[in-house]
Amino acid sequence: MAEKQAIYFELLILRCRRGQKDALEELVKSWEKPLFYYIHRLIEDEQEAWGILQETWIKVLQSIGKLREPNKLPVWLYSITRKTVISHLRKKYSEKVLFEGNDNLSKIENYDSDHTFENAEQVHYGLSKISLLHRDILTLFFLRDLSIEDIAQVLSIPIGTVKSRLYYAKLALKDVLEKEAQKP
Amino acid sequence: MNKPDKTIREKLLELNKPNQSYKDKYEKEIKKMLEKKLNYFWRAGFVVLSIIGLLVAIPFLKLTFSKIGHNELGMFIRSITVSGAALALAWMVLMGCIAVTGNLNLRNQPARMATIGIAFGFFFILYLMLVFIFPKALNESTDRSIIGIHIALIGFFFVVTVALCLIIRVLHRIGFKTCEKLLEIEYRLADLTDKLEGK
Repeated sequence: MAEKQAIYFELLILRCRRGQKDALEELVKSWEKPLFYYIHRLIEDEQEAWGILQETWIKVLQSIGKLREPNKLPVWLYSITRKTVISHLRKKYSEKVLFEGNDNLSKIENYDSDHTFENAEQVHYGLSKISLLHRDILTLFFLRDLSIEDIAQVLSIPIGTVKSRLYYAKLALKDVLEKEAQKP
Repeated sequence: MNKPDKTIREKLLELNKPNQSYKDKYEKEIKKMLEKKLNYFWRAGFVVLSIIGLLVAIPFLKLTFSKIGHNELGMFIRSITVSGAALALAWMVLMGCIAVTGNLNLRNQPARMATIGIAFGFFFILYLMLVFIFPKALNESTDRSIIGIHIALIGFFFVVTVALCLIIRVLHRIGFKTCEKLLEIEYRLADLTDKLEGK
């Protein structure tokens, strides 16, 4: 399956490099939904999110010839998307504010780290309530396009940091959802 | 992929309901981006380039059917003028198509335009040399055989350069096409394997 996907990515990139319009459309069509979801989780304003997605595609189409490993297409796409989002966020906030963790982890006890979030609606809601730092990594995780190693590449952090950040992000999400459930 | 279960991904994507007006605006922009439509100013520019192609093709054709081919270099010069006319007409058609449709594929066409442009440029220079420089040199020269060799060498250089440009372009395209076909076969094989394994 992974091999088939790698061949598909290679073929798609080759056709995009040849300037085939249908291949470029296929690339945009197959990735715009997850990329928009990711952007919209980080950028609240929907109009701005669409603008960022458009800017992302400009960068993608301009640099598609430079992609040396087509099997890394998802990593490459999410990396470009994230960089575009960050450059937009930087215009508004300082770097420190951007990825500041605001979770009070000491309050959460007896957390089951293998807790699976099956309810997509709850996850979708919960993602909007946690910090940007946790939202960033959890969105990538729930979109299921990237492995832990891939997420590490997108975020430019070590794999160990990804794992611990994911752990704390899940804690934060669970905390939010529990608090929400307790509300009358 | 983290897990084979894609349900949560699909559900999350479905939950993200976009504002249709924003989405329409985005789709319009993407369409424009993939297929850049030229404004009237640019289109007029391409019309001018197309007319230049026609204007250059006419003297080339005239030369082809004129009495210039009386000396021993006649056939050689004639083949150059025919090729020059063909390239000039190709240039005219290409520029005309861009002007009429307003579509300029930013990834595909520059290479094609550059190839024809370079080839056309070389022929245009050669044409100028044939019209203005060589006749004068032939008239003033005392040893016509040396001039003949010079013309042949210069002509040979131009023809070889143009041929090389075209061959490189063709090889490049063949390389891409072969690679694409191989990948398509590989993909079908992988697909068949998956189906046979009952995945």
